[in-house]
Amino acid sequence: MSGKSIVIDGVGGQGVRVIGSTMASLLTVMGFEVTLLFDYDSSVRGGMSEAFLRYDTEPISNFVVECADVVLRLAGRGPHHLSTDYVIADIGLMKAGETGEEIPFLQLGVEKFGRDLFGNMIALGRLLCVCDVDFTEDHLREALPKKYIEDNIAAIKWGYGLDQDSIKKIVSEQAAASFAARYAAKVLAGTASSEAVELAAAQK
Amino acid sequence: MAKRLVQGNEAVFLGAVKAGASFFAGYPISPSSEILAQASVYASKNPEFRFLQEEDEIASANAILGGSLAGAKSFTATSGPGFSLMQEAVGYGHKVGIPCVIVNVMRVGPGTGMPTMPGQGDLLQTRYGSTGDYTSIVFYPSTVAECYEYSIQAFNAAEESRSPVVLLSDAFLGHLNEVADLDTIDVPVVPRTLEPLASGSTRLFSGVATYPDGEPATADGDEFIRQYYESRDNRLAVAEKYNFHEYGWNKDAETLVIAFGITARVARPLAPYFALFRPIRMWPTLDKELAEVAGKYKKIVVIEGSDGQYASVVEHMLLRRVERVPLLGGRMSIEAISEGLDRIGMLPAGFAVDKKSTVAVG
Repeated sequence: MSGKSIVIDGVGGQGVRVIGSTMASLLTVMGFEVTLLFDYDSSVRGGMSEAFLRYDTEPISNFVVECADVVLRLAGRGPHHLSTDYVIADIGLMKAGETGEEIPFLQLGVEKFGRDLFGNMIALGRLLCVCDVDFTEDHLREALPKKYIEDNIAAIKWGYGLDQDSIKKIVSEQAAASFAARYAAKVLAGTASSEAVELAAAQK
Repeated sequence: MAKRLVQGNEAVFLGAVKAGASFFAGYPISPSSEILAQASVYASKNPEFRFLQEEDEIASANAILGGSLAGAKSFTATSGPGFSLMQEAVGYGHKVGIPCVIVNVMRVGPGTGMPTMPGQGDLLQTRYGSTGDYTSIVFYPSTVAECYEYSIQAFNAAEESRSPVVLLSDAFLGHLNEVADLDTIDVPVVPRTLEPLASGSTRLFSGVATYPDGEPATADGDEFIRQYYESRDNRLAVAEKYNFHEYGWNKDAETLVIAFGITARVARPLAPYFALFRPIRMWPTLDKELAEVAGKYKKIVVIEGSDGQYASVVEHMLLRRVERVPLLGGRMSIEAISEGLDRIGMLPAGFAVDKKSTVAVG
């Protein structure tokens, strides 16, 4: 397996460091050469937080990722001067002209594992799958912190097991649920049902 | 210890411990704060190692001078604005002859600037930041493993030269995690060279020009000159033992690239087209080592994270004009380097930027 260049794009508090550190540790356990650079803005709360991760079978010289094989996008604050082949994004974060997929990671974390935090591990699982990283459970156990390890392994495996059909189903179900919630809110606010349908459809 | 992911700032701290450091004083500042945090945690588990969080960088620098006089190998870590505040203490340390290490993890200045973005603009400050004439020894690694290695060497050079030695790093190198096995890096440690104060002998540490017997020599130019050259010659002689540098890439090329720290790594895709001279000992300058190779090349280009600080130094060293590719605003990338080379007409014909290249360290 050849190496890849990955960027994890988010804001402070979204778990960029957790996802990047866990993936880098896993790849190190698997015997890869790895560089992981955290780049963040210290000037404001919620500022951009990026992880540049490269792995290969040979030592890595240039650790700055300018053209990523895969970007995992959890927020739209992304680094300047970055191009990418494929984007894995939370809902609504894909940009025009990009190739990739949108998955409601945080919502899935709550729905499947009880906490939005596990959305990070679902995203990591999906990232590992797209990068074709062939890890074992033993690798994961060595790389992960002991706290919540069983839940984290389950979430990573669940994310890894997603395929395009299941992603489409999840996204459409999420869109339907979101529409239903908006429609109900309009009706409860006294809007006529026919008008509420139009308003809920327009409000995304 | 097997190979594991190590952060640059962590490697600097572990190198200091390996070198025998037993006192850290500091004030947190991005992007160096992980070194302070490491020192704090380490001190809580190792009572022989003392940690002091000071109220500012002025106090931090003076505290490590005091710690060193009291017998401990001492160090602090900061970034540009903090290093500026430390300059009075730096001069005092040079005048009195106090071994210690100051780590400067550079960011984009001046002022508060860009606190988490990498810069290389403190280069001249490490040489000329304090008042008067003095001889600085400064190292700048470019890998996490080198952060460990040259952290040890910085303490060694400090002991041998009896002066504050600066270990440079930057926001990217400090925050970079890469796979390393630090136990395979074997650097002999120079033991403590100064007896602690109050151990019996008389020592002078006022910072004022004095005769050897302690009487003021504040109006005796001849004595000042004697002491100055003695100190300078001693530190230059010590520095000769630490003439770390790398000469590589395509040595048959027509142009020599001079780059250091992270810049040399980011520029690595240029390796087929240029030769590389990478100084690791930034001060005193590697005049002889650079002169030996520079004559072979029609052109020299300095790629650096400042607006030509080291390029000016190189021109002075070689007495010839060099080209400049400044990487400003934290833009340390092959794209920015390519733009810079293109501006001065030195982008190699046919050079296609392979931004995905993860080519091996040279």
